[in-house]
Amino acid sequence: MEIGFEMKDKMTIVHLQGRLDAETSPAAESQLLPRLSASGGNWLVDLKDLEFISSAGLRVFLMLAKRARECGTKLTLCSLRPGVRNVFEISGFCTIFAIEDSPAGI
Amino acid sequence: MEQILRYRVQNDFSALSRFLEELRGLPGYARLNERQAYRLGLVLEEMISNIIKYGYDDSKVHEIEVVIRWGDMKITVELSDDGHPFDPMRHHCPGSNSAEPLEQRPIGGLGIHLARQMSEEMTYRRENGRNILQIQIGGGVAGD
Repeated sequence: MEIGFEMKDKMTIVHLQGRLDAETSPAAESQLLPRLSASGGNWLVDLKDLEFISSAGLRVFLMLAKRARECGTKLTLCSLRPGVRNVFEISGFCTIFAIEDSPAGI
Repeated sequence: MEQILRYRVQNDFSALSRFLEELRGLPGYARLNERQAYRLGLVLEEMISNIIKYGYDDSKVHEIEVVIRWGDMKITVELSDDGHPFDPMRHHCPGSNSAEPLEQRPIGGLGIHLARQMSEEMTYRRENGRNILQIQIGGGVAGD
């Protein structure tokens, strides 16, 4: 799992690449949560290179959503691949998150 | 042509990760379509994680037996473990109620729900002190 951060205006763009599963999720969570708390601006998480997510990875997104709400940060996800989108749909997470087809919509 | 793979996975998370990685490296795995490969990976991770987390009270090493049969049209997985009796078909999945507001939603608990949704069929039996779970993953070219 590779995590990249990019600043654009005041927005943080996060790139997740690889697999967000039982093995990689704890490290991803410990990188993302403190950063979200500290960032101040809104967040766009670009998932175009995220190949796989399991419930362990959904847990990371749920933690991020709760933290974003506490911090008043707007959190948007974009560019979900079909497999990842399917997991978001089945779990009902599509209703929790603002999801865009591409980063251009933000 | 059907291929049968048999593994024994110890009940710890690093053994699970090694097993899944090895599986993904097989030439047969690369030949699965994207949807089948995703579903197989998810079902194995969710159901084996669950056994590791909740199956045992002792600190002994246990082995979870995994048999995977993959053919042209479907994949079947059989998981067998000597943990507590657990029928995932009867399991209520906390967190799977998507009508619940975010603040009230429990973290986690979604794994079995996801695995069930991604399986075409799941059957459970308890036999000789073991849980035996058979899972069919469809996903020929014809889609859902």
